[in-house]
Amino acid sequence: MSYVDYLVRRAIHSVPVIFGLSVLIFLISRVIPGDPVRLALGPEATDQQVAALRAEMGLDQPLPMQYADWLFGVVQGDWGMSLRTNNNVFSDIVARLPATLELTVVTLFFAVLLAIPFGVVAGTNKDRWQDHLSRITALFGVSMPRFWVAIVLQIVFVVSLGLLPLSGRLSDGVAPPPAVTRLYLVDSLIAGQFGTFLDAATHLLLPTVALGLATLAQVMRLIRSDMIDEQRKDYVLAARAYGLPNTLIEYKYMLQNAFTSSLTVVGLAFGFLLGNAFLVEIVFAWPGMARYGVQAILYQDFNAIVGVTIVVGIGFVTANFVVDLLYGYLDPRVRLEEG
Amino acid sequence: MPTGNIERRKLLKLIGAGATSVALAGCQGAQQTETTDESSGSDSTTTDQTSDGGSGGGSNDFHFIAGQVFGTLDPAEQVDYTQGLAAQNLYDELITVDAETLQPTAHIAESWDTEDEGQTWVFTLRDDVTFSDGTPLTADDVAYSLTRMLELQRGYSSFWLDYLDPSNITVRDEQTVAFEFNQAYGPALATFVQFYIVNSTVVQENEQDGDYGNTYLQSNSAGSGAYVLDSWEQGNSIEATAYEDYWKGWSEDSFDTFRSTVITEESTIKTTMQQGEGDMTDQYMGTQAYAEMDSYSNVRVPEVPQLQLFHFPLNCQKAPTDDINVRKAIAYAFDYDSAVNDIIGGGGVAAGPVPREMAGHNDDLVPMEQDLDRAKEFLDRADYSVEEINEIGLEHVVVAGTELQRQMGLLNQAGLNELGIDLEINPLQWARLTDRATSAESTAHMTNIFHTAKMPSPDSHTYLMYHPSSFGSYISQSWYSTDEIAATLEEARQTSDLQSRLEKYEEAQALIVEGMPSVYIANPPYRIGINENVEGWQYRGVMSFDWDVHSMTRSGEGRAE
Repeated sequence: MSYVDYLVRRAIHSVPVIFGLSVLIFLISRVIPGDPVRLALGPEATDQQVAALRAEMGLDQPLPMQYADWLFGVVQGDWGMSLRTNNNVFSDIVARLPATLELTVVTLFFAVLLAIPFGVVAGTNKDRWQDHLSRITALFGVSMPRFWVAIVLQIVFVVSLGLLPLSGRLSDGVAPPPAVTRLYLVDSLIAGQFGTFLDAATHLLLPTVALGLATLAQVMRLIRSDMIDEQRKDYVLAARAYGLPNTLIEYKYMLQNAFTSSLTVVGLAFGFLLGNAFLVEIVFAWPGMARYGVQAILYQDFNAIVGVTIVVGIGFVTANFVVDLLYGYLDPRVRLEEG
Repeated sequence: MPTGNIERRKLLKLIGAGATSVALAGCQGAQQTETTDESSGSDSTTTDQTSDGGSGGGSNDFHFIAGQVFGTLDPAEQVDYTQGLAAQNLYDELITVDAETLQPTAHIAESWDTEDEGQTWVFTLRDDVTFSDGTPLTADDVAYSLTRMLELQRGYSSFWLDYLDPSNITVRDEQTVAFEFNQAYGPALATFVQFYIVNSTVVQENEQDGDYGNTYLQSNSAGSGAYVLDSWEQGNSIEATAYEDYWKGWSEDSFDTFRSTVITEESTIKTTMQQGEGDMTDQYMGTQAYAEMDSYSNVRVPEVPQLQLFHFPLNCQKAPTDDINVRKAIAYAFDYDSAVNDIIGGGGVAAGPVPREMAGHNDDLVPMEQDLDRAKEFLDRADYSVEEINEIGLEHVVVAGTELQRQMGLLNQAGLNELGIDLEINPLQWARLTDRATSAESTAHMTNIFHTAKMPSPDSHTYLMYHPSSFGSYISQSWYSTDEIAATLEEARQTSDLQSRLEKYEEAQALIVEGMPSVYIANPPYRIGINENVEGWQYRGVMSFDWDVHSMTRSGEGRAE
């Protein structure tokens, strides 16, 4: 089996995972106690109104029928109506996903970008002050709740120092760039609106730090421990004996091997960030999908719950797929030989 | 190396090719955009501070901080406060609420009359009202708008569904419309404060598959309101621009644009107000948040009596609260002063189900006070012993996640513990709570409920709580009525004369309180955060009506910071 076949097969294997997830979350969302229809219609709603909306949403059908209808709709881009927004859940998610994606991708990018040098420095300076400093930073990053970090950042950088914007994706009076990807950083660059780019970037800064601190800490500690392991290996001793520069040995040869195990964590972190960005999105009034998902849960808006869960599931599957792809790049031994 | 594998260099080439494609696509996009943006001549499209629309942020821009999303912009569907906020500013209601008397008063309808002993209501409309497209608002629009509500069966259509058939809506002339109810319907006038009028021509032109223009109205406004919708980013913000020819006219300091952003986190809302980035908040934050905002130099927090009841409905169809003596014991064991002064932080102890500031409140009713001796007396008279009550287990449901709700539960628990009664406090999500309220068996023994007036009439705090036809909603969790109460409430609804009707409601309140179906705790105060440079705000009793941006003006240069 070639490497390409392997990747195709991995992609095909993802389909039953998503399908299984959809069955599970569809059933769970339907059987949890509560009456979202009555909630959506308000307290004065008559039984006639409640029955009409139930029928309109197909909730008077048996569960297997409801699932079949839902699945049929999904294929056609109709993910069911949100009881809270009265919209097709698909369009609700499409409207909000770019904001969450932008936040998640930028967070992951900077978390990994910073974790690499910090991890390498800590690993190559075991038990020295650099290592202790990274340990304390990692402990802080992992143990501090995201929403707490977010509020502290707002107090320091917005209220006290007045350096950064408080909330949202853009400042008052700054119009979003023409929509191409709906990622403001990308779209503003495409449109050549550098002012908007800077404004969007400053709005991203605090949410990114609040969201990414734990991921940074995790990846940094993993790289650190793997770098320590690598240091004892023969190829490193040989390279040093040849007199190769330390930077080359550490950042090219050792890091490539050390990063392989961290890659799994990075892949999982993407899916995790996608689904868990809600606390940061709420504090920074970030109009993303995670905040939408939380509201959906609170209002038992079950089509929206299913939709968001599926998207997060796809995020996990895609991230793991990309990780598989990168494994092969970083470590040729994991590539499968042609059968 | 096997030939089937992708070489690292090959992979890099593929990535490079992909990146180049994206860059090329980007260049193309940039060219297109440059053409589009020539008129603005700006790289960061900043709007000026006129009424030309676009994103706000200017000194004449009103920025409301909403704690929840706007679920719909169709005024026929609105039921909650953000939906009400949108309707209040984009559309006009047939009848409005007078800020001084909190009673229904003329708005689009400049006068009205009843015929057939209150069965038919005839409204005469103003002749100077135009929709935002410049066409005049006529009786046809009113008739269509109400028919539309009855057909869609959403929002407050429940006020009329049982009483009015669309075929009985008659246009008598361009300015006169008549609604013939199937019986005399006393609260009709009050209910029409929740009836917003749409431009029938525009909406009918944009109907899709018999949706009465519902889809169209999610992204467009078609009203005669003070503001015209510019954009709605669902879940995040709504922006609207002043309608220049609004029939009530504009003053120099009126707001040119109206904008609302959804911020749900209290600390962010407070900081937004403190930084001078917001003009107004909603009323649903914790007591402490308002106290903190009041300490900011640029924010004021008015506190006015509110048409709201906070109470614990006692399930009268479930043991042991089916015993009136148990209910009275529970009511006398509760510490009302602590609830009002320490937990709610203001307002007054409630006297019966109708808020004390509402016309039609029975002033002969006396607020409850904690009296443990009387509580023990009633408990001694009850059919259930303390042991039996504890064996059955008393459940008090509170809405999960709110400190005030939890503290109310604990206060109740402390009072009942004095009587030797154990109380289980059960925090539930709102959706679960409303579901449990649909049957007497599943309704808890007592539940924390805030009940706010949706119309300026005691009907919502009596009929909707204690008439058997209203059972099954979270509002009516006492499951309590008697033939006499039901008959009195029905008579009230059928009485067209206002004074006589209010007397009926007062009579009903006395009958209701006799049965002690609720622990009536408080009429909480109304508090919102307002930037110091906003003037003209007035509490108007009905949800969202005080957020009529047209009635407010900016004093000073921009927001106070």
